[in-house]
Amino acid sequence: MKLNKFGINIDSGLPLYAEGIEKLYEPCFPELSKEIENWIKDSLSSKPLLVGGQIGSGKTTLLYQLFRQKDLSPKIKIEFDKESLNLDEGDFLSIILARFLEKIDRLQLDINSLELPYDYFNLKEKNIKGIIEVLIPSQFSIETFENKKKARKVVSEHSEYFKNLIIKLGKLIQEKSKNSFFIFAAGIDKFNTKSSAFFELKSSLDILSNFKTVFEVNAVHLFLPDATTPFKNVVKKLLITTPSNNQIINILKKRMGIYSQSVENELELISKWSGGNPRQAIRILSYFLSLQKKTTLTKTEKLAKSIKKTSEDFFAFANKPNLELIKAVERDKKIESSLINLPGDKDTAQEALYGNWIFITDGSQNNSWPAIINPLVKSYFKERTITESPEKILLTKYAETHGISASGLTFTTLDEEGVEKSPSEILFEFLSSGIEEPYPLKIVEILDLIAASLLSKDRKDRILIAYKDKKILEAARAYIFAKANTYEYQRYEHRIITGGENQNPLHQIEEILATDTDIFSLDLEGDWSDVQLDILNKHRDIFINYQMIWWVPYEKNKKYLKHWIQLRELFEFYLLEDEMLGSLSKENIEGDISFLEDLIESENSAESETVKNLKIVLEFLKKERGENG
Amino acid sequence: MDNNIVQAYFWNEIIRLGFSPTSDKEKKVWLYLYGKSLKEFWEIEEYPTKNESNSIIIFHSNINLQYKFNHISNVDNYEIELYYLSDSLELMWTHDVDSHSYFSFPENSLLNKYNKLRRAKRSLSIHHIEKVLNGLIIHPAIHQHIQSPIDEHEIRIGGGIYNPFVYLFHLRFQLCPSNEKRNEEKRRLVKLFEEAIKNDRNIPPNELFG
Repeated sequence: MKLNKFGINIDSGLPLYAEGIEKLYEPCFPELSKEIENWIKDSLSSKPLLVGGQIGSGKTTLLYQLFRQKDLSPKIKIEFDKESLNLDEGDFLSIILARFLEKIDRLQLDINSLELPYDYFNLKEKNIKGIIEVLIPSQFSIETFENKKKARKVVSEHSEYFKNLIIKLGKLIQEKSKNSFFIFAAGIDKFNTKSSAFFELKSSLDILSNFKTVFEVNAVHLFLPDATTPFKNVVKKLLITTPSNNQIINILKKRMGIYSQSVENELELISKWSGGNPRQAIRILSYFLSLQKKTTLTKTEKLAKSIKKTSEDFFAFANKPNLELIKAVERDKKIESSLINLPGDKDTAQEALYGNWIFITDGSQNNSWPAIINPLVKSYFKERTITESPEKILLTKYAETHGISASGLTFTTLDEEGVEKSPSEILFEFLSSGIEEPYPLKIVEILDLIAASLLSKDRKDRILIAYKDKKILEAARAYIFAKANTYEYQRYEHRIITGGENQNPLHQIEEILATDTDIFSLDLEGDWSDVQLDILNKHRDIFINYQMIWWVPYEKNKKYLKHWIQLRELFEFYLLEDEMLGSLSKENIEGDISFLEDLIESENSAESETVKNLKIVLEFLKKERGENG
Repeated sequence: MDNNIVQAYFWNEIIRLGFSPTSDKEKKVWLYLYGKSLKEFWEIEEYPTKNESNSIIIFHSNINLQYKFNHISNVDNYEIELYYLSDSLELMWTHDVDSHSYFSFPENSLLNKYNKLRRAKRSLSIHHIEKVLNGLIIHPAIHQHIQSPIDEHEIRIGGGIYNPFVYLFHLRFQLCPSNEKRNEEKRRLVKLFEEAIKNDRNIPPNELFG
């Protein structure tokens, strides 16, 4: 993200790195940071540490903020989410092995006595760098990918041998390193405790527990019973809960820069609806800003739509926890540790926590944890026992303050039996509807919401568009590519990614990401298996630096989103309305073409790309209306 | 030579060199690049320009303002509408120039008659350029204030600017809320126009917009 010095810096709620941290970071948990820092600096401690938080709570940002300091940076970083392939034991062991060997190479340690298994990997040159390169290739190609697959399979087949080898290597590094040695095991938060991938990961976590390792985990990992947890000998489990309302507001103010005063009235409301989750807050704000230019909407409507859109992004078609659990948390304002530890089906507290249906708001008190229902989903559970919530009251009050009653919203005020509904009811029905069935949008409406990221190279966002009618896809894509080139020349690459039997969609995606382009447009076809969907979910963070548009058939999308709890946090989700003609005017398109043709100076230019794609759209519109081209 | 006269000549020169695209294509390019420059200058999250059949709308929703104008073909006859953007769109006023039909003070004719530009250029200095740019763009002597939602932000809309491109450019400046950015921009413009006047060089729009 390119930073604005005084102005607005908004994205979809990504972890902050480098320059972004300096400008935008809000220290919400100074005591927790201090504990981690003390652990790092304690040369006598070699026990691992767990740092956990819910999705979007800011754990990666907090850790990166700490690690920026010279004497606090990890000596080895292992990214299980970004570097894994098949999500099996051999896969994970390979990553550790490669990173340990890298460290050994940097320290120039003598490991001749360990007899590395060069023969296993069929290397041309038998040296450490050869093993590292085959397990974690620096350049992507079909050949390196295939070699990586084979090499990791070898590790799988000889896992016991490699486990022993890794431990020996680790002990050697630890012995020879200076006092501040520690390992950062990142991305474990992507692995739901109930997934087969987490099971496969266990032996790797067990190995790393022998060393001074900080594990980046999800909140649910902190609740694994001691008897069965793979995180052994842990010195402490630190949980990032929810920042205070003021801290969330400060985060948003920093994002708004000098413009924060212009949204002062809205920030408190957005903060309340975030439930204390920074990513959720930033997402609502981002949508609110996109809707600012819509002069046909009142501010209340803009806010309501932003809240609804965010809940669609994170919760549409998601597996829902059972009502009893929700009622219990709402009533007691807490959740018992024992409930979170329960094994069971998908309705458990663990799933509710992992999926952000509930938020833990503070440290434990007598084996229970203060908790709230995520405000975004409260309206979905339509029960009288769900009392008037602070955010609901605030939104209604906001509407009144701005001279608009909540019934001024343009929603139907009567139910099927013709009974008048209260403003609150209207509002809440509106907000909850996105979780069951997202509202289809016209292409121009989608463009309104994605314009900030699509039209600029400064932002890299990811957009998932579900469609029902495949016939309109080419024109819809051409329209988006045209608009993407409105001001900046942006190249785009469109590919079909096929899932299903005998396919490796992640490999296909990695291949296309290795090309040099600005926008990656992927058509997800075929019958993706659960495993393939899960792999993509866990590799969420490899997509962070790319502007992507994914196209998915509507009927498949329902299934995919259920698997993509992590992935969907970095995506905006849209359902494309079938009717292209309704929102695009042939005359406007012709006007745009005529305006831009004058400005074309070369073929590789924004204007040229826009005109080229607008002509495709125009052709489509004419054909649909039966006109000659 | 009297400083006021010197500055009068530079005033004209700045308009001529930076704000006088002639052909329809040049005007189109100027307006296109103008719209494009606003996102970065105002440091906002998206490009604020929208093209509609024959008009261009610029929305600066972060300070509750919007303005609209048609593709400018005649610099003596045009309108720029300013709107207050809140829960609804309210027209504040229209900046309207009818100098092709009605008399306006002929500063150009007077200056050309006395033909002292060359002499004025001998006194070319940063100081003079700065004074002129202050009057033209940064702090027009005759102006109306618009309330900004940002405390430190003073918006001064000039009351006597007849050149549409100058008017649009001064709007761009006035609607930027950061004093630091404005000062930086002022320094840049002073340097740019000082050099342009010295070398009698037209400033292409991509340079004008930085």
